[in-house]
Amino acid sequence: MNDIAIQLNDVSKAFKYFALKNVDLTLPTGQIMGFVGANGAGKSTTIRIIMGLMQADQGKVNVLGRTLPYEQANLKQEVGYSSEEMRLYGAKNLGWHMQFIKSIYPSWDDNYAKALLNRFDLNTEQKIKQFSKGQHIKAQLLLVLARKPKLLVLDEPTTGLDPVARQEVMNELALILQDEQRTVLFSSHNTADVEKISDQITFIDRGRIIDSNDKETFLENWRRINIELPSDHEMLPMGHVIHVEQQGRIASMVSNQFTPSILQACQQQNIRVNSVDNMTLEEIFLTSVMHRRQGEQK
Amino acid sequence: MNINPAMISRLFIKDWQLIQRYMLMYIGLGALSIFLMSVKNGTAYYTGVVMLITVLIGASAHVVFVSIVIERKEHQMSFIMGLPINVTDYTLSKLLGGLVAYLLCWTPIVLTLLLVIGFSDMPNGMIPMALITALEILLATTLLLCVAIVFEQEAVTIVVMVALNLLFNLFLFSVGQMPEINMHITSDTPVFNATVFGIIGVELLSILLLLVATTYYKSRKACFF
Repeated sequence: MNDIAIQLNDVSKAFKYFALKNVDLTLPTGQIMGFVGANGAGKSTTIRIIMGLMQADQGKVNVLGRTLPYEQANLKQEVGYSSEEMRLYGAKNLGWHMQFIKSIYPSWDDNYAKALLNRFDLNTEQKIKQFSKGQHIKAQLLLVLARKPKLLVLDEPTTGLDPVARQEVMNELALILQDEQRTVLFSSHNTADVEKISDQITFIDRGRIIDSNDKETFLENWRRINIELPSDHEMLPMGHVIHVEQQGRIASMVSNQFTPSILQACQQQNIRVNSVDNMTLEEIFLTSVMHRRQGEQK
Repeated sequence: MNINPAMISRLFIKDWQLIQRYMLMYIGLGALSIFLMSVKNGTAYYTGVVMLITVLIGASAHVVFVSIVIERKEHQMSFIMGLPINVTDYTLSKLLGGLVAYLLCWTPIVLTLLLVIGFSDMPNGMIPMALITALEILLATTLLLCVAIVFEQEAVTIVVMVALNLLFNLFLFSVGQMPEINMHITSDTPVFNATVFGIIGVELLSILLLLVATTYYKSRKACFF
């Protein structure tokens, strides 16, 4: 068994107004990776390249041991792919779609499909055009999950859903992903969704991967340190501090590699530390993006 | 060129299931048109002719738009791209599948038309012209399928469809003016002379060339995007 499910090396793809640049990405087998980026950051382009639907201008793409895009047909036998833009046939019902997918994938599991039908509260007789958006996404998930893929690639599955439907889909997805060990690549611009189900997190912005790590490392490494300075002079740069907001003597600094040595350095400069706070994934993502963009401007 | 015949046939069956109701409706309308043509009444005859041509062209547009243009426009294509197929599988399923689906409607209508001409009071000399006309519509359908697949744009497909309809009238006029055809239309026996065979041959060869060229062009693409 291959230990690496997805491996992208130095992958680039240029369009007229956007370019994916030198993307390196590794997803070990059995892990769930949240792929986070703003709209237009390059998530869908990366996923299309991973699925073999789009050819990179340069770089190597290997998924489940297959070289892409050349082995895309064989690869897609083992991958469940669902995207936000994907639509089923409105004039047909879910049962028709299930039969169609079952005829293609020998790995289709009828019992699992029935269990998912109950869990998602879907009716096989109902036409797809009568489904709500949430039901439509659940139907898509059912069709990819019941074929028991080795790798699940979900491109923004919760985008456009109202908060209730999003919560429903995410809860069900979280439950399903606990069922078995699966390898999942899950893209979203919603950090709360990603934080809920991911082991690994990768941030992408303006076509570049800006950070990639496991969720615990992200949450442990990033801290917001609220401080009081001895004077209102501008604060001196400090190691591992990537962002500072200062108003007079009160300041807040963000570290992406927090260690107690930062607090010791504060003490040495007569800086009073008021609090050290954990950061949410959204705060981490936003700070990462802003830090990166400021670096590009300099 | 790697192709997956099993997937191509599954995609064809899927497309056929999406349009079969309409194709059966077109066959019914085609039968009605032919019935009107066989009635001994000038108005009924011309109504039948116009209706028959409309049915054949309508079915052609229906196949192309439902199986290719609308599938892309409504993002069902994304669902299909996620299946274990490559660009060539998709192209062949749409080209051959679209053509077979259309032929399942075209063939019974055209056969019925030829039989009715053959066994009714209509002059049998009409048979070659009817066959040439029906094959022109089949050729136009193939061209429309190819355009929809190659250009992947609704607007281009619509423009080509309109142009083909205009050219159809020009074609009918031009062929009808040919003495080798015109002089035999009202005769009691069908005359398959060199001109008729030549036109039919060009039509069939054009269909074949369009299919091969489109498949070759698309098979050079490694990816859908």
